[in-house]
Amino acid sequence: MLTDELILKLIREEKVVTEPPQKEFRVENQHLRKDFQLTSSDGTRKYSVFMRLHITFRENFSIGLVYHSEEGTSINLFRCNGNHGEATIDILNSIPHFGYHTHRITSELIENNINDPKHSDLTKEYASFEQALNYFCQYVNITDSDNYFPNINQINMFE
Amino acid sequence: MIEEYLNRIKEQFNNFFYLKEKRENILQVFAPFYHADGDMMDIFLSEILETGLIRISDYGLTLMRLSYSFDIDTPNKEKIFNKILAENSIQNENGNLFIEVKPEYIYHGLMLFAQGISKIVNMRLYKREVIHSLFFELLEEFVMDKLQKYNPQKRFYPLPGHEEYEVDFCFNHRKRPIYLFGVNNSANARLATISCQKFIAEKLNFSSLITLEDLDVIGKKDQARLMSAADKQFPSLEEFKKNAEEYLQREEQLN
Repeated sequence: MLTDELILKLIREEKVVTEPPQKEFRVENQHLRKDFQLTSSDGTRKYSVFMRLHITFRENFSIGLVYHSEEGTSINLFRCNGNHGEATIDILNSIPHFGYHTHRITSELIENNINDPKHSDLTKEYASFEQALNYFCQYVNITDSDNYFPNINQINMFE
Repeated sequence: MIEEYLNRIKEQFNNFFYLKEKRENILQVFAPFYHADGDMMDIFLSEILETGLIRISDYGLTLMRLSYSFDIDTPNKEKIFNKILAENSIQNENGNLFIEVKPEYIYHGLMLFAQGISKIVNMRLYKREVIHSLFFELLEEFVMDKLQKYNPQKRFYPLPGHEEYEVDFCFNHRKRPIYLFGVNNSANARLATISCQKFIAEKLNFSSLITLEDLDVIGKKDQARLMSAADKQFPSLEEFKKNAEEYLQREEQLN
């Protein structure tokens, strides 16, 4: 049973890259795409990361962490989203928010067999894809991310 | 003129409708069309000046969203995808999905389009792991329907007082029963291996039969352990369905 505490532990535990991302983004339909694989630093748990960036609307992007359990199920634990429009947690009691936001799965959602990270929070941690990638790698604790994204920690004073 | 229609749509949506300029001549629709995670569907309107039609489109954002967890990468998936598009009169231009309607039909177009988007995003339900969870139901359906004459018994516990050693199906049609284990992941491969070894250690008179969902569902080490513990294995549910009856008949003649 994944409790909220355990979910947070999975999101934040140290991870290392096992299958690196492609050097260049792959063009797919109307977006750019990169994917890579991770394990926990003790090698016992498997994760993957997806990165998507819309070609025309650069503010529409998504970077997500997926946990792959031993039983063969996969759960999208955490996602950094761009400023694509409106998001709300409870559609029938909607308090919409707009802007850059993150999504997180909760134990209640998993208990109800919902694998969509429905819980969302506005964030001021990033305002572009590059900043989001930097934040994501730090937040989900990818210890060797510098090897694959060498420039993400450099502050761009024009951003 | 378009303004007039848009005002009418606002009324039709009970005022839960407005537009925001995303880019020049691209208006983003804000209306109660949501994805399961609470994000609003990405729907845009643009006027086609030459024809006077309104293009309702997603600018490829539906397929981008689907790609987080599902890829349309087989002819079968493509067939389902194209069927959804056709059912909802949606056109596809390099992943940009759209409908073109006369201004008076924007409301209908939006409803049809949102319905189509929803179906496409839900194609992730065809994910292997979801289908995977149907494995035991499919196995049971087959056993109970086609192998009834071999007296299948579901959830059989060969060792009284030890419910931790469970057999998915026991065929009691002969002196020496056949214990069938369905295997669709490493965890139940290990459980089947341990159970077979325990039954052997307890000197039970039985034959063990394994049906894998697919060879890829377990690693090589699990495969090797299972192979040395079990008497017979079918590499896939399809193979089992094809050959189970003949196998059980042959076994019956042996005993």
